[in-house]
Amino acid sequence: MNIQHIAKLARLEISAGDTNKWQSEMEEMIKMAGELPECSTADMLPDSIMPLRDDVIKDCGISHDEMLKNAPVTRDGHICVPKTVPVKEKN
Amino acid sequence: MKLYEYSAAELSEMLMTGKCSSAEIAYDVSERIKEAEPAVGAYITLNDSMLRDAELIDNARNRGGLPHPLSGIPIAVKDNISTAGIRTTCASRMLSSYIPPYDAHAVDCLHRAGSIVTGKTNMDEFAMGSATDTSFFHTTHNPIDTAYSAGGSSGGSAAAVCAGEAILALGSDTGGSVRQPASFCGIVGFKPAYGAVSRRGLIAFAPSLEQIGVMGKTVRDAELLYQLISENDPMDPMMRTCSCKHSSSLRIGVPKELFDSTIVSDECREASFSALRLLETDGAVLTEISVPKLRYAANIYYVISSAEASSELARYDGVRYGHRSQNAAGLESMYVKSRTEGFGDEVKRRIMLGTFVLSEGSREAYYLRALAAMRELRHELDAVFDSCDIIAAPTYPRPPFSANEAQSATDKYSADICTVPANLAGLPALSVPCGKAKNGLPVGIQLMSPAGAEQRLFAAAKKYEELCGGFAQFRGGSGYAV
Repeated sequence: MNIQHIAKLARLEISAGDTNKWQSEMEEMIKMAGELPECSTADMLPDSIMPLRDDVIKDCGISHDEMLKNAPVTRDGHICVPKTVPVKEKN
Repeated sequence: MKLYEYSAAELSEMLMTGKCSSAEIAYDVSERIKEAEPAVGAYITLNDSMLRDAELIDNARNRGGLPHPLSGIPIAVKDNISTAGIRTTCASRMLSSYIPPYDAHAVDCLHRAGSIVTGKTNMDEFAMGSATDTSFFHTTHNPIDTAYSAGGSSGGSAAAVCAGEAILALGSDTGGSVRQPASFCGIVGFKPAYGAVSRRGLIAFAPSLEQIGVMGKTVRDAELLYQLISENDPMDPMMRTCSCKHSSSLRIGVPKELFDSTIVSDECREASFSALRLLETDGAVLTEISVPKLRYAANIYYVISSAEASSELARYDGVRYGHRSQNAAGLESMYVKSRTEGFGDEVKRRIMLGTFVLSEGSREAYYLRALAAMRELRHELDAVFDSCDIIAAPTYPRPPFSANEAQSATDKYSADICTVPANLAGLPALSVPCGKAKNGLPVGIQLMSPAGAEQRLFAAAKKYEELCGGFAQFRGGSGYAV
């Protein structure tokens, strides 16, 4: 187990100075997690798939503006994020 | 006697007979909050309109409305249960300014019954912890002795009920987070069967295990609040109704794995046995049982709950709600820095453990094996319910510990062994106070039954409450430390 690899998968950052602390703590937790009885894992999935509601649009009684109130940055009724596609410079 | 010292059932009776008003109860509770809160720290956010809400309820009652027994009763709500227009933080920096646009179904039930929401209670961040000390805001202290922990993760809710800062409280229980703090604070905590209470509006941590639970000073109080929030909700597709035939006798299974002296302290074991012996004098039959997979319950629980947490908490990316880092350069960096700044260490631990057990090469060895072991544990518990009506065990293997006590993550996780089986098997479970430890703090006994047999639990717990002379003695009578 490489803690920096796991942190990268989890979209978390661990500073170089904290790497050893997290590495040893995680190893201890993984050791505990691995102490499981020998059981057959055959037919384990799917066991009980959580049912989902029908994916249909309906009025939930909450306005567009209300829904956007918790977004960190909005503009003209949209949520803003940093630029994702580089814009080609025009000559 | 101040009104906050009465049980919800007593106050309900007083309201119905005109001996007091909702406004008077709300006033007493709000004064008590001012008095106790500096030392206890049960709340993150108070409901500023509590007194006004109570007056409106009085007016409605005077017009002949609101017949529900809990109308006008002040109830605290854990801060991972959504309240429209009231900040709901999960005790995390990530959601420190999040205001839900809708009420959780359980909160909607409170409003329709005319109950009064006192405020939002402190908790471990995202309900991950057992001492209410991983909160981004502050640590909650035990009202009986503030040098001690109130337990967790619903420590704020338990402390609020114990201190009289609320009459009842909602908590959430993913692995014991209602029952353990209830036992630390000398009150009653009930985790319903999986699917008995809607999870709509409960901010998810491990959705296959968690349930909204209830806390009160007495068994009857917990039962009243449970009856109120267990209304069917078509918006939670996992809701289900179970029924069990009523049993007139009481056969109590005593699992040797949860009374093992290498796991459970002498004080907690003895207190539980004393309670069981008292029930035995009243005709209950005690039977030693063995459920071998219980030994692995904490290990199974931490694999499955962390796996689910890593997936559930992936939604916090700084885009639609929650903390967004101001130090990011580009989209990927925004995700990583928002999460790194927004989550505390315990949440990061669980997310990374979950990420590991679901990663390529580990899924079979950890996650699937834990699911298989959980399935076997469920079969073993089903089988023992053929020979007993309820199962009893200490709620927690050790007495309440000091606030901010340093413990390793794995030591803390292992101590959840008595409470996590009910979550893994979806069973209803109730903790009632059963004695005091040498440090003067209360300890609890836990009763579990098959889903659908909640009435057996309430009946057995009420019987014990009657036989032991009431739980107030375990909280130190009506005297409060703060």
